[in-house]
Amino acid sequence: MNRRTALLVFGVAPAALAAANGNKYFTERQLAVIRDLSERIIPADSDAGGAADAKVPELIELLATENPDYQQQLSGGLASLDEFCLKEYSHAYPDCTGEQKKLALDAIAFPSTTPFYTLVRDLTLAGYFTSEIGMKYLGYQGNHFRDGFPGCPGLP
Amino acid sequence: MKTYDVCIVGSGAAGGAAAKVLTDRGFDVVMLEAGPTLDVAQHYTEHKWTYSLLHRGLGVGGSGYDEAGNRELDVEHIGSRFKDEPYTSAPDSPLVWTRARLVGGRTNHWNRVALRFSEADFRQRSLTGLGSDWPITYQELAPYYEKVERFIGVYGTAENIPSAPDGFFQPPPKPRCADLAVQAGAKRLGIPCIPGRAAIITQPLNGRPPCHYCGQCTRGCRMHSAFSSGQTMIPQAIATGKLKVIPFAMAREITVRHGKASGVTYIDKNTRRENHIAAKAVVLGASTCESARLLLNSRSAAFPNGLANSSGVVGRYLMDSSAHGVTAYIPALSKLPPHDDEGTGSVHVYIPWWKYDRKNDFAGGYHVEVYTGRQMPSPTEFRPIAREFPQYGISLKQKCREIYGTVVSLAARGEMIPDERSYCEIDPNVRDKWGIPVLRFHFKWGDNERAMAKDMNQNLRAVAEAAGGKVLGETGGPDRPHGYLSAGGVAHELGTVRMGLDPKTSVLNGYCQAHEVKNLFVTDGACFTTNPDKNPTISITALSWRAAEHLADEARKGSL
Repeated sequence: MNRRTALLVFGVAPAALAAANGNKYFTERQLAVIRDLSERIIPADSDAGGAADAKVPELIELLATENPDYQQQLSGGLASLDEFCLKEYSHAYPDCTGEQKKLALDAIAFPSTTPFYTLVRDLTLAGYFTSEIGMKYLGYQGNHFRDGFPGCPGLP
Repeated sequence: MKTYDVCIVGSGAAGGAAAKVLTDRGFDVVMLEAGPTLDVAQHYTEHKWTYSLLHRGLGVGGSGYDEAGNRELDVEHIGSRFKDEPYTSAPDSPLVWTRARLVGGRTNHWNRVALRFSEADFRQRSLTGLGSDWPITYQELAPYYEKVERFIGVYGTAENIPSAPDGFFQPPPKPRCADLAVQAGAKRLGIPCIPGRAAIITQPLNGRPPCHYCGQCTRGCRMHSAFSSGQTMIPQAIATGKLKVIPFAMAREITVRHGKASGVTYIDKNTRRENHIAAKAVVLGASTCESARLLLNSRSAAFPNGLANSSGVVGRYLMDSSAHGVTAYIPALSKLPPHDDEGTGSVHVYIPWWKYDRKNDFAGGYHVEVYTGRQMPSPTEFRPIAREFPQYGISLKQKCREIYGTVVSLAARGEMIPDERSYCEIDPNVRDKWGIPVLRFHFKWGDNERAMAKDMNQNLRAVAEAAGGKVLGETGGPDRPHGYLSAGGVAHELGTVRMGLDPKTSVLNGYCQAHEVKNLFVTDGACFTTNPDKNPTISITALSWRAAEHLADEARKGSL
């Protein structure tokens, strides 16, 4: 993929988009689960903050508010996650223990990845690594005015 | 009402070159541009950080586009989804039509890859039995390539490879780390991988400063180290006092009087009023498909099929570059500490077509552009890595950091054989906001392109692996309708108003001049007889430069 194809980001037709009208799509409870999931996908560690610090949940909420396809996939996925947890652990996801949450996430992530998990993961990665925290974590040094280009310091 | 010497439609590579040449020669020129006058502070986005954007580059609802309809990570007013100016497509027509509505056109954001056509590229039919020969030779265009290279500034190196003629070059930037790995891998396979060639200056040129290596060329370059028409050619032409640019002017029809073009009717997008510009000659540089659309919409008693279209060829032979990409990561590079590995926004090394001296399973050739470096992370950057390594948590986070900067994208760009069954036409049922009938696309890849893409896939994989890489992903696949081709997206549409010797099978002569209408010239990518593997912008600029000189000579002789 070169830069130009990278610009064709998620291939969503604009006609399918709802105007952001200030109303947030998620309930507080749904947003909390999205926050929990995104933080489990990219957690804070000793090197850098995680998805929540990078405002990933807010970005996912913004995108969902604007995009009915995301609304359907995300709220459907959140409902299925609760159903799974109720069946397995007799609690909805937010009321599960940390270990149960991990097992529930494993169930949608491996071995066959659900479309819901893929969407949350891809949006989490997109949001995290386009954030200032994420770019610092990577050691990105570009997009500055430089006098010249030094070239590769030498292959390992 | 004033009659101009020349009316130019469009301000990109073609319109800009024609305006520069004609105003230098003292012609009184008017230019119609369908978008605003360029304001780099407003329209260019190269120094905006993704985290300063509301959607971080993902666009409204993940569409890639912002509320105003601009791509969040691109120059403003460039895209394929103008809601006021739609187009339609036949089923299975994969072309995505990127357009610009801004002075400078698509030169505001092009990848700047600047490759001359080779001698063989002008003689496709003679050499392969497929496609067509151009009515001009490499030798005829070569002096114009040099004029263009000296004017716009191109980096590269002299290599003496027949398929990739040398030009007038500035020194290229040094290779990035993965570039070195690809060069070493290609060498092992006996494939040349040479310094890249791009219209980005590495030394000062005509008051323009050299590249500052921010790596964001495709989002605009306000320093104008990466070339665009709207920052040099148009201002220089305006400075002569001989060019008037009319922004927000959507050309609707070329008017005709006594068998010649008499001017252009356009809609002023601000007032929605229709105006007419009278001119002694008309130059179309509106872009390959817009120029065809304008001719097809210019129907008159003398030209019932559209202007200069007695042959029925206008809109036909629509080509794009056959394209395929393989993305890989090179594990050995993850040992490198973070460093500035961004460079220009274009290629530092590339593979020119190397199998020109042997029989292949297809006609024509391709080249391979190498994209790599520790670039500003795009919103989709880590998706292939997450697919490759199914995990989450700190291990995923670390994996992303480990692989970031080791990724290389090999992008092959190949010839497409012209075919009259690949075309655009006027959709009888749809008009744009200005009341102008829109285009309907019937774009088709051919068997030659599919065979070539298969070869691309094999060689890109081989190069990636020889470079020590592990493949992360590729475009297309054996079971896809278009094989390994990536459908549309390269935005090299060409050939809809082709030049040729025979007025029955072509619209223009070798000077981009209509066979049937002497004072009408089409100098953008529409005039291309074939689409060799080389990215077209520098050839458009050279052809337009040459056509404008011819127009000037003929006008002075009174032959138009």
